[in-house]
Amino acid sequence: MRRLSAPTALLATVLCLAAVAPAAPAAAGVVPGDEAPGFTLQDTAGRTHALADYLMDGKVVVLEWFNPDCPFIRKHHQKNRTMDRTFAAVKDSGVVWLAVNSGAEGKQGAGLERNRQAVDEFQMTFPVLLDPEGTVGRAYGAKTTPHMFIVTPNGKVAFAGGIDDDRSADTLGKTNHVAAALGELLDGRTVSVPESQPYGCSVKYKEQPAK
Amino acid sequence: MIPVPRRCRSSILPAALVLPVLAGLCGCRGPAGGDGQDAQGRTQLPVRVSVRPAATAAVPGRPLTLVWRFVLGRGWHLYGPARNDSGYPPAVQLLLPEGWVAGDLQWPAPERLVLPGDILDHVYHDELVLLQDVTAPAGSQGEGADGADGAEGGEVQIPARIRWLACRDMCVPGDTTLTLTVPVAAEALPTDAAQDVLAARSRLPATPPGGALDWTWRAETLELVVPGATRLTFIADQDCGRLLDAIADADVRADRMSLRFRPEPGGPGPARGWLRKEDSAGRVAVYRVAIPGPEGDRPVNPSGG
Repeated sequence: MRRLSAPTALLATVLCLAAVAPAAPAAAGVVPGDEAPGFTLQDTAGRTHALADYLMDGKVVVLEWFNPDCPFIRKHHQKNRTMDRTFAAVKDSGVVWLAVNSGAEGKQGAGLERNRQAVDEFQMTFPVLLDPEGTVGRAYGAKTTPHMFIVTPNGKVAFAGGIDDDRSADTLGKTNHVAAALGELLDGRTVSVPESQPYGCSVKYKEQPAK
Repeated sequence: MIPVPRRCRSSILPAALVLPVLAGLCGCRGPAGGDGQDAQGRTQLPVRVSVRPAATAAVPGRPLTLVWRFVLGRGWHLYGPARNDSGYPPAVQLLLPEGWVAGDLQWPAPERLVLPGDILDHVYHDELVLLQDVTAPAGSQGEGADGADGAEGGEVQIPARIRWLACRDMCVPGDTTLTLTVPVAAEALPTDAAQDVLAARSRLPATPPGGALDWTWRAETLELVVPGATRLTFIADQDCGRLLDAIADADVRADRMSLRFRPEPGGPGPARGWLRKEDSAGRVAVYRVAIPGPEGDRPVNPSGG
């Protein structure tokens, strides 16, 4: 019987698994319990941020999908300092907060210059990472700005959804789900509300060619 | 003589003059010289809101229908009261006189809008007309012109706050207040808004007639069959059970659809929302559906992820 070479055997195994693997649902994205998709992105100051590096350092990582011209982002960064205050309460406890802008070039709130201005305008204490191709946003299933995810040091998604339950562009909800989840995680407890419905403006993704 | 009520209008500044940060009151008129209408006569402002009663007065004990009209600028949309990935629907808050009651806003079915990134919303373009009934308590007469209670031919003032989010390539929240002046009288005549009521009512969803719809649960999948349909669209309410993939499952060119629901502790579903049916002749019927889950009906938290 003819034997396959190692690379061919590996390729054959991958093709075979692909053939039998169930078709992924049309909607991508993560839910609590999933492995968090890895990424490496640059921020507005040109620094590189890799999720893997933070996790290896044992950090809890908060991801906030961001668009400086979205009224819901302004609700939480200007009218109220929700994001800044939530981060300030935990920043010395091994938590990293990263804003991610997955808006395509030319769309509202996108681009290096606009986001560099926003860091100053909102006096942000955490960086804005640029994802103009929308690769990271789509991998997480980020739909709105803001849309929040919390990743634990073991690489799992512990929370996904809206920061609170008030879908308006001005008032805050009664419960800050991200603050509550971070409190439980830092106490070594399971997150009791791992999901909430995200709300806000739609993420301004790049159009993709029709398949 | 039966008094004719005043029309109440409100408009907001053109989008170019409204900073995205503004979520306060925008009760100003547009630029002098007109509404900035396009070649088709449609307004260039994001949204103009007005309200008109369908009768010349409120007759105590009888509902008076209010016609709320939102006219949108080209390319802008408002959100429906559905499970949307983004935005929020218009809201009307009335400060009613004592004893008055207001019914819920009555909504036509919104349209699907799928955006890059698999973002699914349900929206209205061009114009949204909502109906709402208000009823004065039996025996009320309203305040007289001299401010004295009980005077015949009196009227009441009803402050209203209207909020919405209009989006296009950006989102602009709207927030305006206006005051309805409603005469109270023993008799009333239809106003010209009564025609709008008829038109709006024809666009409201209906209860599916017998035989129009059949359904079966198979584990977490709801299979719907609508004889005669060539296209079916399901628009989930905010308190509908969560669908696994509304983009793929909830709009099909067939007479049947399979809606996959996320597994939940109390079982999948319920399925609540609008069901739009189109047939081979292009006729459209829109139904309201409320199908309990296989484990029975259960409340769903609209804020649940």
